[in-house]
Amino acid sequence: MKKSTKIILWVFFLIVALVQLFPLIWLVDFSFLSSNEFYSSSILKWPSDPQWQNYINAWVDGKFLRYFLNSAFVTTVTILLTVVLSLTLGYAFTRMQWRFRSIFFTIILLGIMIPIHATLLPNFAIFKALGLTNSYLGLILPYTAVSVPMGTFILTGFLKSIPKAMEESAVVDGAGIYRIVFQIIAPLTAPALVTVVVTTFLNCWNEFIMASTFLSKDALKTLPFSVMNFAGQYSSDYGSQFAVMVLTSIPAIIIYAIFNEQITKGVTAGAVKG
Amino acid sequence: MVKNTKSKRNITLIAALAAVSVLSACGNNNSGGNAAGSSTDGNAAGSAGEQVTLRLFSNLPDRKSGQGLAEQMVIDNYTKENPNVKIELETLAEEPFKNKLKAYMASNEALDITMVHGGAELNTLVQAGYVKELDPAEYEGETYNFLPGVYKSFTFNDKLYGLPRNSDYEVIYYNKKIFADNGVNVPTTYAELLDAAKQFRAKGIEPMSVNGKDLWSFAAFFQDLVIRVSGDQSLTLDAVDQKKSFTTDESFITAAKLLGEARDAKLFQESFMTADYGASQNLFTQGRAAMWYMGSWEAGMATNESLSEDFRNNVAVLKFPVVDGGKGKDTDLLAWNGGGYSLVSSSKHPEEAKKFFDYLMRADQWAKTVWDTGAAVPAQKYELTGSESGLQQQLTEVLTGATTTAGSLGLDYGTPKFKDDGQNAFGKFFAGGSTPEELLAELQKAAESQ
Repeated sequence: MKKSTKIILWVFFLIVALVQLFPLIWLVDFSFLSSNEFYSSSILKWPSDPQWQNYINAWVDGKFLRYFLNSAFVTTVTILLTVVLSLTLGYAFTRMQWRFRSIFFTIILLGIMIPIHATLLPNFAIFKALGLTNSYLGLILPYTAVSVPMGTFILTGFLKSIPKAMEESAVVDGAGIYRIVFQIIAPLTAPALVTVVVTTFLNCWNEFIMASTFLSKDALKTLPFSVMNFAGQYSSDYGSQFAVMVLTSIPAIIIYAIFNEQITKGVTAGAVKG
Repeated sequence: MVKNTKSKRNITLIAALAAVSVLSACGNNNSGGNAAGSSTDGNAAGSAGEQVTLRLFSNLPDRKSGQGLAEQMVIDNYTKENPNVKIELETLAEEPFKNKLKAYMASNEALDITMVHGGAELNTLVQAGYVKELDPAEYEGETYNFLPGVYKSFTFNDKLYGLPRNSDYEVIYYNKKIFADNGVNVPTTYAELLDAAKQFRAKGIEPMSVNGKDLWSFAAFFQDLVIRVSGDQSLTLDAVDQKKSFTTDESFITAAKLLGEARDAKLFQESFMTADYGASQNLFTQGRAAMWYMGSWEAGMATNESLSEDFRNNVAVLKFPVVDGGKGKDTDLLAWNGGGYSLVSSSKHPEEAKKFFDYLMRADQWAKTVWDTGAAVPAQKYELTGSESGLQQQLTEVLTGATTTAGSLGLDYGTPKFKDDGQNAFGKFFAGGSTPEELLAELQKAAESQ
């Protein structure tokens, strides 16, 4: 009886895993097809003649390396800024007593609700006036602005679950405010911080609308532009586009795999206490 | 134990951060180098007084095939002949292109030349004063060789604001072999077309492929029917302009009913509403559909090495069939000039920009290049080189044999809102099964509320 339930459970989980993995398998599979083999009647089509050329195209014509470095730089700075701002804001909102605390907290959280599309044109005009278009900062600022509200929300939830005794003992030992925040609180909130890091990473890594509006210099473009390099006016080189997408998704998969456990912890901790 | 996993976690975190910061350092260096490079360029332009960088904004991101390749070839030709000119190119695919052009217009960005879509979209740019007026007299004669009537969607209040780059017209591509193997006659009337559809259906072959998801093909198909029924090229455009009415004009009612017959005869492929451009093209080029309703810009199919030789040898062009009792002839062609280029008024180098613009539009540059590469049919007269594919020759015959042309696609003739509402009306008609009368009522509503 117990063994059979176990087997059923195993089969069930295997099926779930397969369903979860299928999009990735499909993505890799199609990246080896030539463009006119797409849209056949079969769901998976093992290529008789794998098109390695697609990956060469992705690397060379898709300018993968340059766009990858741009993406990595923009994403990293955004994550660092987001983490520092969210942590300090979260600390200020949960631990410190000041007059307009709840008003500012509400204002920051309102940011979660603002659709980015509505901010595109005004932002473009402002950035142009400030000379921020065609610069890394032109992407880092809006990306950070979009990520901080959610990060603050997660961190305030998590911070409430940390006993105040920790800080009290730190104060007794003579720690200053920065030391408390970055050396005592930051390690304690690691699961929540990882959640913030990963969600920010995923958002920035795939972002295209803001990037396409604020950037026009080829030297600054980010990864999603790479896919664009294979789009014609009417039809596209689908094989190469899939190859780009495979290459683009690898860093995301690696990061997600490494921090998978913490993300679940961080999200649930934030959710229950928030 | 607990401590151990924690320190491990910290190490991974630190390692990740370190890796990332190394990458960011690289990124930084890169940008620094580039910024320095471009600023010295700018200085050189200022001091020497001849080095010029022109900015071109285009909707052709793929520079290795099709029209993107042709555009790149012309740019390369020009910069080779004029080494003092550097052309800085920015490309985005259709939808992001349109959005960004709006942003550029709103902020009066100093582009030099931009790709434009004729009709309503160009009109918006014209009203904002973003594009320059051109003198049509300058573009007469052998050097440019524009076909008559191609300025229609680039002219507003009798002033010309851009030049078209292509002649676009709708035809039916068909696979000769599939017709012959199944003993189906190539249709010349609409009734024969629907009959052929039934014969193919009976044999389990998709009769006609269409990119239903994109919706605009239905509108073109309908406009083709209206032309065949009424013999009047401008009827649809007049209705969009509200000079005629979709709901009361006999020709629209007849055409809408004929469109319903196509739907009922299952002329289009299985689940055609989910097929986008690529899907509909692949169905046809893989020899699984007998016909494809598409435009002249697919002339390159016959020479595309990645398609099977069997297909390349058998692809041919069919004019849209005539309707029994209709006033239209099969030489009334649904042709328009959609894409083109305009000069931007806020250009920083107006003279150099004009020079390049004129060069680009010369008959021996853009027109010849797209024709030679099979990327499109230009809006200019071109000399046949003799090495054209059979498909290109047939397409040329269709164009030069045309007795009347529409000048604009009905959908593009109105505002972007009309295009949206009109397309959705066709979507409802084919996917939701609304009646021909309901279709016309919705089109009328779309025309009134644009």
